[in-house]
Amino acid sequence: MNKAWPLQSSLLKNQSKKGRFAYSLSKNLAISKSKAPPEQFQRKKKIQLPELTEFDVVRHYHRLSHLNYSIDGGFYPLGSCTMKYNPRINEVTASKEEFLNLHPKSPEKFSQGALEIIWELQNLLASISGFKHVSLQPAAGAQGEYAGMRMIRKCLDKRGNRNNTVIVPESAHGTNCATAAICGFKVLNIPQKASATLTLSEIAALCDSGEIAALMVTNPNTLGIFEKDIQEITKLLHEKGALVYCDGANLNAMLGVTRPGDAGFDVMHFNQHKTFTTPHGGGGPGCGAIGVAESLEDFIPTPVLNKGSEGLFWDYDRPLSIGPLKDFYGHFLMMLRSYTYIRELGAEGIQKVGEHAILLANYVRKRLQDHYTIAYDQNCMHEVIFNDSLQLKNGITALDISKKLIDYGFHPPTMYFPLVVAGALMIEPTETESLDTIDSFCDAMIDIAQKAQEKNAFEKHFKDAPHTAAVARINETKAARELKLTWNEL
Amino acid sequence: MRYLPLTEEERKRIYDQCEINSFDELVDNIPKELRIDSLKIPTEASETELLNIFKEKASRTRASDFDCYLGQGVYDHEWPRVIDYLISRGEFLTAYTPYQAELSQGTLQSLFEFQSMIAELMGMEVSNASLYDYSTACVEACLMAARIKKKSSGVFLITEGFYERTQKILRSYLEPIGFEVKVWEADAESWSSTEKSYDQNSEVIAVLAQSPNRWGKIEGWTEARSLAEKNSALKIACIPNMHSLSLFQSPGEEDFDIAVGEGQGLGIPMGYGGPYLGLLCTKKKYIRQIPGRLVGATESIHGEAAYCITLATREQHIRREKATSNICSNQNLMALRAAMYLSILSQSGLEKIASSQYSNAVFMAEEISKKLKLPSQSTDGKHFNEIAFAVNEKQLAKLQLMEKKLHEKKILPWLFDKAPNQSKETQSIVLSFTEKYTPEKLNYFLESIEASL
Amino acid sequence: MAEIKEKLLYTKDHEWVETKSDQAIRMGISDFAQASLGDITFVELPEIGKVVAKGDSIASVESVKAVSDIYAPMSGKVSAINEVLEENPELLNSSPYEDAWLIEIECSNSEEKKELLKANDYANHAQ
Repeated sequence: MNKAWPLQSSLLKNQSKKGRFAYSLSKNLAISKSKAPPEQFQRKKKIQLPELTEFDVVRHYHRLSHLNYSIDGGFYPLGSCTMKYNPRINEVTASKEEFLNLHPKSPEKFSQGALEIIWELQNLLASISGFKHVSLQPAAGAQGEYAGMRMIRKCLDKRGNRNNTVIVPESAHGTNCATAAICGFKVLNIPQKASATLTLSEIAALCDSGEIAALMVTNPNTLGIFEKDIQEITKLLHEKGALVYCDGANLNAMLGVTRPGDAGFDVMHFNQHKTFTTPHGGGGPGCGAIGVAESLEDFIPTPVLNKGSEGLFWDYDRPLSIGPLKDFYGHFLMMLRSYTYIRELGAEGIQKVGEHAILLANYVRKRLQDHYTIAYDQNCMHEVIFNDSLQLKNGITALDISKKLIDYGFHPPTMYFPLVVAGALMIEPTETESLDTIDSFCDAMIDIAQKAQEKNAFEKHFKDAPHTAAVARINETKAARELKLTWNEL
Repeated sequence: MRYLPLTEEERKRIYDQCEINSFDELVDNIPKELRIDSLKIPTEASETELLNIFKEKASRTRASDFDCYLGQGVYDHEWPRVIDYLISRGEFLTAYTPYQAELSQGTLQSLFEFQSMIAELMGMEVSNASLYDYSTACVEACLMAARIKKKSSGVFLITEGFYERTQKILRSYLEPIGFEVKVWEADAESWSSTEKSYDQNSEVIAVLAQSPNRWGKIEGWTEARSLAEKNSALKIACIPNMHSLSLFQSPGEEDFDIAVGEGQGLGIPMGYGGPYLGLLCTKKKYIRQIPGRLVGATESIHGEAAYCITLATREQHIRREKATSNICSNQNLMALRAAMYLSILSQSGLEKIASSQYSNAVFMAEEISKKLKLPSQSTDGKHFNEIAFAVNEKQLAKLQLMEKKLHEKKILPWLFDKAPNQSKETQSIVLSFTEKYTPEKLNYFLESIEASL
Repeated sequence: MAEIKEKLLYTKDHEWVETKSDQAIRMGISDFAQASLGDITFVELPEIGKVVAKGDSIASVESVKAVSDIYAPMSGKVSAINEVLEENPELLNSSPYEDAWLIEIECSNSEEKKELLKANDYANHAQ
């Protein structure tokens, strides 16, 4: 255990002392004498949880928090993750007791304030993205993707279209394929060629081979480049009776610059925890949404928020809907945060987001292009991809570069994605970082590139990096070979 | 525009570095007709303006101020306020997914502890790092069971006591991909599924039982277990109220294969529907079929205890089409709240809450039955904190009127639901009681019912 | 430099084949394959009795960050699997040709042996 700063904290189980307690409960909880449930249903093996004081718990989580890198603490150059600043005013508005203490089955009559926020957020996202409708029910991007593909399947079924193949660029995120498979589609990969973007001819060729139900495409794509032929592509697919799904992970590049709904997409998922600052929270909760064009509006998941004579209400009477995706209406407490963010920035601020993100990414591209091989040498949008091919000549990999970057105080960029770029390093600065931070990051990357050129570079600088993080290199192989998933197994 | 720090001078520096004269040169590959130069959304707002907007909206969200006896998977519990303070730390709030283990030991250790405590509550060998919510966790359990049995079609037999919404969600996910969801009806006396045989001729992949069920009744795990064994099916327990596990048998005690649950009652606000906390536990032998994130214990190269995401090869970013799920996130912040809640309450706090909820439910079932002149479904004591009353059409109309009067008294008294198919009444009302509703409030509720008769 | 055993036959997907008898072969993955995969954490083997066609996915090998499918070099029926790899997948890294053989197959079409690569040809392919 680390004896120097930052201090670690042993497992809660190991700190337990019989008789300690941390809770505050009224003496008079029960209105009548205690009764026990029928013997045969009673739990036999008693629960054993750690017994701690509140102070123990506070100290424990304080210490654990010090072992975490976070946006508040440092820059994340993670391509496709849009790790931008999470404004604190969002936390204030999202903590109002009137919203925390609202049961989802409360009568709509007494919940109009909450319903209005959902209604307005739907409209804000629709205006920003160019789609006719927005549903905020999806829990996260993956669920939004699932909704989109289910809607496409249902729409095709209604038209009597039995086609079952979905085309997905090889550069796409693995979720696209997983989602298509879960919806019962067959996946056909579009091989990545020298061109960074999809061409109309390659899509036409695939359509001619028949059975194409839909195209799933990320725009800008996972290489950070805008799909310039997208309008022609969506038009062609519609002519062939197919539909088009947009993976909206890279929406940040588009804010104020262009609108995906205008390019002919039938449905798109939003990642509000990326583009609209709902907190990542160490891995979740996310906050999804889907933008839906007129072609798919009948199939939107229920319930749909509707306006009636007495105000807003939840409409379950949608005969063609794909049904509910999850319990209730979505991550309402997260919607409060994205709503606050969009209202704070307003038309003026949102207008600038894409532009600033693109400017910073191209700045990084220009500063680093003499030190790292650039995967696609052209203007990028909000993110830029390099690879390790220059450094590999001296035996240094993308992994080595990333682990070394930690010693300079930065979280590594996205590595080895997209899979079509060998040894990829994808960098997304986001518009909330100052140019000073970006310059420090570029300086660090250049320094690492220079170290990578030295004789015996691996032994001298990269072996077993990071050397200055709170914890040394962690043995992930051991974790997989010797599975220990609870403290009882230690 | 305080979140857009680029100054004019810095913009000029970027133009110089990029050898351009305007931003438009960087996006000249975007077709002109797709470019926009303004958005039709409201103008920017200051912090004060934002706070006023929210104050105004909150003033028209009065239901949160009412006494809430609504339940069915979402409960109006207290939570230790220290949790809000701890969870708001930027290191937890704004941290990324812990793929870089060396930079995420805070998240990873707390998730490992979460997994340990949830497995303990469920009495199962292992837990994952959470799923979205109760109903989608039920879906994931079914898909997992299908993978374990290597079946691409077949029947999932579910007790009638599953929430209506969960039944819809199960059908919504499972029917389009070739599975059938069949209902095992509840009997008219106990409002739980006790019938020990089920005649059907297609293959049953798994039997799922929800306990406490939609009418608050405890389903005996033994019935579900024996029905599953008769059909060579897997056994899946679904627990929408984790507090019930303080008093009642855990699924692990009955050798269930998979157990799922809802963790909302473990320190998570009702928040008008989310985010909540799906839970999934299983036997270690099935671990490679489990969906969602997993955290494992290991060491650093210096031999210090450390934690990392493990078995990521099941997940979508590696396995693509063959992944166990398309899920990319877990409900991390909610899992953290639950872990903190459990470490603060411990078994003695949970036991105090659970036994008082049970006693209050017993008492209120009797009293309300007298006042409303409705037979209670809870006289057998086979319930947790939720009680139900059978209601016929005439009584339904009366209760709907009474409900409005109770709203005027700032009470949300019950949820309407169907009654079991086999019972002679078609409707029911369901009420729940948490530790927040002390004797004083319960007496006010009873007096208000009396006054609304 | 990856080791290549002279006496074995190989496929382009880096599987090795050892002739046990006229009808039976034993297979595994080459040294080059195990080195590219990195630390192996899990091996998924088929059930005994499974019938496979040449080129079918017959097994999979996992490392921390990747999964690789292993393909049947010849058609036939699985007659034996190396169960020791269940508990000790790391043997595939240390002894890919001996201790960490994967599967034995009763071949249904011995003509297919002609399509396998000899050690020299595999050496050129793997480099």
